[in-house]
Amino acid sequence: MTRVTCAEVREAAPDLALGLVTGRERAAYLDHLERCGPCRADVSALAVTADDVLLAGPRAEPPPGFRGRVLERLGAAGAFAEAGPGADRQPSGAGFDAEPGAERRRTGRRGGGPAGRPPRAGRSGPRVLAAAAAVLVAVGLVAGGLAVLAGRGGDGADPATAGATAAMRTGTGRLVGEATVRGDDPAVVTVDLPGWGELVERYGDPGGRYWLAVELDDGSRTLNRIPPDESAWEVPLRAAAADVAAVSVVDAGGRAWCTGRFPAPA
Amino acid sequence: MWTVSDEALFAGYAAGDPQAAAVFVQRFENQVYGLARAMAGAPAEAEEIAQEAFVRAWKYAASFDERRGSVAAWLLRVTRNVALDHLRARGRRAEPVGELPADLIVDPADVGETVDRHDDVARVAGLLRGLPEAQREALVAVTLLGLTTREVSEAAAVPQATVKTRIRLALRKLRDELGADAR
Repeated sequence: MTRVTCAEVREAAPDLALGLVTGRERAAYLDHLERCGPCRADVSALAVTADDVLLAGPRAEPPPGFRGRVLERLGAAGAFAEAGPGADRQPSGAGFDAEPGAERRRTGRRGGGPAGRPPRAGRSGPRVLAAAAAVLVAVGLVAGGLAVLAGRGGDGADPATAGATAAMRTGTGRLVGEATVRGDDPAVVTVDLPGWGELVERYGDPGGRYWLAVELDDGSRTLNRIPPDESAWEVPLRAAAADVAAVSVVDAGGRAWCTGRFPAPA
Repeated sequence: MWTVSDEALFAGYAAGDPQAAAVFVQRFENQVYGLARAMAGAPAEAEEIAQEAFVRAWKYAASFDERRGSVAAWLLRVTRNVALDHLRARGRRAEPVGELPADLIVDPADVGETVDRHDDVARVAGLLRGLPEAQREALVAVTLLGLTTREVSEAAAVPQATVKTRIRLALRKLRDELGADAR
């Protein structure tokens, strides 16, 4: 095998980090990296940077039904063999069939991105992907053994009196607060987001308008204006507690900042 | 308060928990499909690539090493490799590469709802935009479109060696800037 020098590795380090070197040439470099700590550290650091570029890459909303098809394919590949034939099983509360397209239909938004913005146009025509808009994600709760914070009625209590609590999460699953629905018909929804003011100040418009969207099991939604300078709100509903499916905080553009879902009663 | 990290969720995904799988796919589908779409172009092929990426991520979950990067980065590397396999299988690109992309980087405003990742993505996107255009185009074309340096050189009408130099300079500059930010 051809021996390469540190200078040669340093020259080729970005190519190695990006996976642009193949075959015998790559083998020679890898042989050197095994024996040379500084070169290994250099390539490793550049590989992390290459990852950062990937992470800053485009986002795009997949076609309707995508998630279900992936889960079917995972099931067919045997991914859920030990967990049972559950590839097509709905996780309680995760609602993976409630795909973004369905969410948009319910909210009446148009366009591919949050706040109904049209996708950004790529500069160079069909070869380059136009807009990679992030998607308004109807956030589901992580159920099962992972993260059940929510459940109507909790420990078997009567939801009408004891109340049901749902974790409020951002699109990436970050926990930012909780929503509680209690009382008989009409019910009252209480949302507590301890860091709300800071989030708005940092990422939003402190002078902007925000609403608490309450979604019922029948798909209907009501919007209730909430002041941005408070972190807890109480909203009376014209519905029973058991009919409340989800609560979201949305901005004037229809973008969901966080969502809490109440699993349907068994 | 308790939240599910990407790593914990991935552990459930790797173990074959269908509930974890549903949430895992939901959490990353936009990034995976977005990269697949950028590299493949056609929506049907992009979906095939994205589906295959999730399956391959489950199959080879044991190869994930959190010391070498995040779950998201690893999953996108898997996606990129799947896309490159597809491109190779169909003889690279069906049509010649036209103008190089200058603006394939995510708009930080588009990730407003992913509050906890906003800062990192915005920082990298900002640094990418701050690179000289030729360097940025070359780096983005190779990383996010899966072009070879030869394809980039043909599209940009410059020698392949120049393309390699631009990519190296861009990546090292990013590395230096990100390292400086971290200090």
